[in-house]
Amino acid sequence: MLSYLMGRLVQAIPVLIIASIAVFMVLRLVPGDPAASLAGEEATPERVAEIRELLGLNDSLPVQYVRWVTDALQGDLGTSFKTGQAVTKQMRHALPPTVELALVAYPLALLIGIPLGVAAGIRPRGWFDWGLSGYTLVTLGIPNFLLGILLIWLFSVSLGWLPAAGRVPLMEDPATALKQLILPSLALGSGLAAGLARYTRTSIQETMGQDFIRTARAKGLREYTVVVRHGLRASMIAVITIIALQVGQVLAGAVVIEQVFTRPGVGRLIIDSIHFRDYPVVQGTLLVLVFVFVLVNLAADVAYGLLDPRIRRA
Amino acid sequence: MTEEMHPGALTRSLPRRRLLQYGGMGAAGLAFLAACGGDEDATATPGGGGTTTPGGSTATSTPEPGRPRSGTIRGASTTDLSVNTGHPYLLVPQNNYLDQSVFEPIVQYVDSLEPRLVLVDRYEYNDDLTGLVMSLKPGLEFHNGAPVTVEDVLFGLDVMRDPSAHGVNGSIQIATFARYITEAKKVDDRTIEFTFDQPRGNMTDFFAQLTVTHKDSFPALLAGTDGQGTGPFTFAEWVPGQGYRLEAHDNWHNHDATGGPFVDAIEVTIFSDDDAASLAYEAGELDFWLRAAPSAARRFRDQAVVSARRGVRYAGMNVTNPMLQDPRVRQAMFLSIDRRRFAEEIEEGFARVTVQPWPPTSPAFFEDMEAEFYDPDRARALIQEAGFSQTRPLMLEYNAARDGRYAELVQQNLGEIGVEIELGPMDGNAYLAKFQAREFPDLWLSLSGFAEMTPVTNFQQTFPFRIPNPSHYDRQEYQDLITALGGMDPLSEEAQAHYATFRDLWLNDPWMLPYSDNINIHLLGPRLRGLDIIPVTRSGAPNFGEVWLEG
Repeated sequence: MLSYLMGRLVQAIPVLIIASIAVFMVLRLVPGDPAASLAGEEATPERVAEIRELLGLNDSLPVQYVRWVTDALQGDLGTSFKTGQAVTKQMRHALPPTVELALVAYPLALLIGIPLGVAAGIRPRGWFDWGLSGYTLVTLGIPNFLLGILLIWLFSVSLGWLPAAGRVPLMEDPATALKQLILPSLALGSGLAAGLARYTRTSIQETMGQDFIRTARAKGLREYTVVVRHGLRASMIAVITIIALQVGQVLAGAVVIEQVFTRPGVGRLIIDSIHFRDYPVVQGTLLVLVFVFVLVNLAADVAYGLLDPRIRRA
Repeated sequence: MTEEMHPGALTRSLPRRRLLQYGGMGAAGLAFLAACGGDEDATATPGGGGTTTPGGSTATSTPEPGRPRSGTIRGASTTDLSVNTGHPYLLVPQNNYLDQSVFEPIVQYVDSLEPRLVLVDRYEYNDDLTGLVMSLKPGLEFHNGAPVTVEDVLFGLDVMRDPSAHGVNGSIQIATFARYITEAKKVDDRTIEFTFDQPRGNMTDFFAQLTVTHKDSFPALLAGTDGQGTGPFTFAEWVPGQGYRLEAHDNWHNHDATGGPFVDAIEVTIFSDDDAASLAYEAGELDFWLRAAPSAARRFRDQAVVSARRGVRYAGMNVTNPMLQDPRVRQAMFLSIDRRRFAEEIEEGFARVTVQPWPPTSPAFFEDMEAEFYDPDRARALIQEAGFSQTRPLMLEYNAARDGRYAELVQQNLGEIGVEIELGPMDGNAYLAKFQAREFPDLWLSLSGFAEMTPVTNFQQTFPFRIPNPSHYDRQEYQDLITALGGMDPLSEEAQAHYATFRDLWLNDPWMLPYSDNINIHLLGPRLRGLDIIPVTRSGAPNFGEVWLEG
């Protein structure tokens, strides 16, 4: 298992190097200039040039890249052009709202998606299966930002039950924080649940037709045991793959949902920084997200090995 | 709110009658608007020099004496603060909540070019407008208790003269004024004597924009961790991308005169866009929203306040382009713009139909320019007379996020007189870089500001008017009037003649196509009181020192 894990870790290194080059270059390839944003409309070209020099943007790209990577390896992701604050400090403020949203929205998606998928998969074309089709049609058909706006209109503007915007830290005021999380989590989680349910349904349906399931039933095991211990476990490899991939979807969805619900998370930080061409913030934040994504996929690889010994032996 | 102007302030050469005339215009306008308080139509029609007021709020616009301080007011902003670019010397709309309420200027324009004294009790020009003496109010302190000194005032000049040396990475608009000051002499602990490079009739514009911060805490302000001003609220906390909190300052120097501040704190949430802010406002989660989008404000028309005109929204023209060199072509394009459609369809009835940048309180304002100037038949005739032909469509470049709807209407209007336009939407940052470099080959959309100041300030310093400008317009007659106005009393008869010359150039040899006035719309919730008058200086930033919550 250890050598399997080490192999996966070594594979992650080139991924991170390529990703660091990509996140460094991506915004620089887009037309625009952070010095222009800082200088404002009334600035003279001379003052804009001065600001570029102040920001170190006149150095060659390789020099800027090496400087950034060297600092990043020492834990310094740079200073925001826009706010003058350390990128790590801004991320410390932006990560909790996103993590809170992900930690509520994704378990919600799991709680809805997996049982729904299992129920539909063990009885294809049953009423659960038809119900799942309807649910996925609606939730995948409506973009999550639109669902968010509809939820705000219904629960905040019309009924006045839940807040439309903002975020209070969970530890500071748990009741308000949870109220503020309900609508964004629903908007983000319902679509993810639908995707998860579809994959679970297909995987369970395939598994339940296999010989070992027939053997388990022939042994006289209870149906619950057959489904959960044998069917679901065997289906989990496909489901874990989807879960690992959906981490990216959660982050992408959070970008949109944070805009709609004014949650000051990583998504909003990235969007605002892209508009401003705040290179250090975009680079630093994307690098951390890539790192998280690589870690999650590494965890998924480990989970495969745990669920199916044949994988780690191979 | 502030002390009355010291007798003899400004200059002897500023005719008192004219000052009274403009002050009176503002007062009359406000009285009229107050009388229209409950009329929804009145709030939809923009005001001139001051602000239009939301229905009902004027009746209780003055707090009763001794009103206890209570409550937190919640505001919205769709842009985050920008403090490391040179605030409070830099003027950026996103810092509107800090201007006036945290950092106060030396003097202030409220509804005319007559300054009200804020941080000084003496403010006197010399006879030939080549110098000015001011004295700080005695006992003036920053929020941290440090005394406001002459050195703190002069520090602002240092920052403007060499921003990079102070870690400022923005471009301070009023820095040009600082360069006009050749000497700033400390006379005593409170008094400064300024000498200018030549007679300057518009230096009050500078001092109305010059806020004072504690020089020793300026590095912390750049880092966004502290902000020492003299206003009714302290800069308590800022979390970038989330919001900020201002807290009542117990020792505000105007407390004895006004009783304010009347609320404990102001909390501003940064919203991602107008829709999100609009939903939160509708859900009752906000007490006010400065600079609301017209599309959002139309749903709360009875709560909308329209600021004084700050300039115009316009399509700029590069007059060196062979297709645009003939003034008749540009004049035709000027006459092709259906300004009423802009005012009604895009500005939702909040903007005023006009072709001039000046608000009614400006000495350069002409009543006859408050009209549509829309004559497509005459425009077509002029185009024909000029022998206009296109080798290619003219490119209209613009910030897609800000000006998309304006661009489509400009394209349509010009198309109706036979001028073919190709739209060039751009990302905001890319647009800005091109704008600063003055690299638009044909046409572009933008907006002008600072028209509420002395007109010559507009001509000398604002991007679309100053020379060089993005239009590359530098007609000798125009250069001469700028030079002449520079050392002139802005309210004199002589200056008036130059304003008339400008009007003729503007209409007959235009380098911009104004299509709407540049205003701000503020939404004030039903419980908010005391924001009926918003000073025109510092980008129309309101002072929350006398604001309170009803009920």
